[in-house]
Amino acid sequence: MKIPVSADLLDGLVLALLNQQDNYGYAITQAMQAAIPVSESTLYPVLRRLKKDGLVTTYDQPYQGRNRRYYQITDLGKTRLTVITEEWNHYKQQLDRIFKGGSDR
Amino acid sequence: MNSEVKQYLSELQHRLRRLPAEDLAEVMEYYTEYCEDASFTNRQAVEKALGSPRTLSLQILAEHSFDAKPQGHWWHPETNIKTAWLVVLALLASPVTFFIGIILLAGLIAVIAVIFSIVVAAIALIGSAILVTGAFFYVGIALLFTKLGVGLFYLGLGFAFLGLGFLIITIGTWFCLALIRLVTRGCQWLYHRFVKREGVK
Repeated sequence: MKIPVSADLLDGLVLALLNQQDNYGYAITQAMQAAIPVSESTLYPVLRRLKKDGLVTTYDQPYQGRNRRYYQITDLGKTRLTVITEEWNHYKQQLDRIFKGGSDR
Repeated sequence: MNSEVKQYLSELQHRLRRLPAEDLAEVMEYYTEYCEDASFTNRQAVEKALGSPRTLSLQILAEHSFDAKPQGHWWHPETNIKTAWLVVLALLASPVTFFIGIILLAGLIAVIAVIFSIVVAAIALIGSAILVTGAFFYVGIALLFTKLGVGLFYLGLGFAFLGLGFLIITIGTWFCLALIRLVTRGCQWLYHRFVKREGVK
């Protein structure tokens, strides 16, 4: 079943991944694709926007003679992640209620 | 890096040449690094993952033109027209949103027709206004040397008509530009609604 992922949720997923560890574009894409069907070209706009909003920063690290740009979550990003996680949990709960047959309604 | 991959990237860069230098550098850095990490062996592999340089560049350009918020200069309709066109192309590029792209295109054509008819009506109005003003001035000047008061009256009417004409032109222009801006906003909404979500393969 194809469940579309909203832009906010995408932001949250990327932030959650970066909260676990700093990472670079390709690795982040791979990790995302392991969980949801998302196209490779989706991630760059997300990262760019997160950076513009101050939710992540970048730093470069040399790797095999070239550069790798790592993305790192900021404190602002962690706050936003908490908000999105709360909203997601609430949403999950609401859906589960219906799927599991509802209790008090 | 594989030469086919290099060629893909240089094609992408060429298509993005209109981007501001800083944004262009960032985008190319990202995708060059991506290709390196992905270890693509040939062009087909790159296109399978990222799409054709054309599709990818359209997505990037459309995304970029929306993050650059339409601040001032809305009286330059060229930017807005370009933005709307980019959205149409981006929508048409993906099979999922193709139909929406067609609808948007039809809508844009309708808007262009509306603006065109407004312009034609305005030209007709201005034409007749010029004639009337000219007539007033003619009569007024002619009468200045015989009946001063009446002559001045007609001259005054002439100027009033002239002023009214300019006023109508200004309002008409403002209306058309506002319409274009409104349409662009609509296109942006469409973009965020249909294109910005992750592309499901």
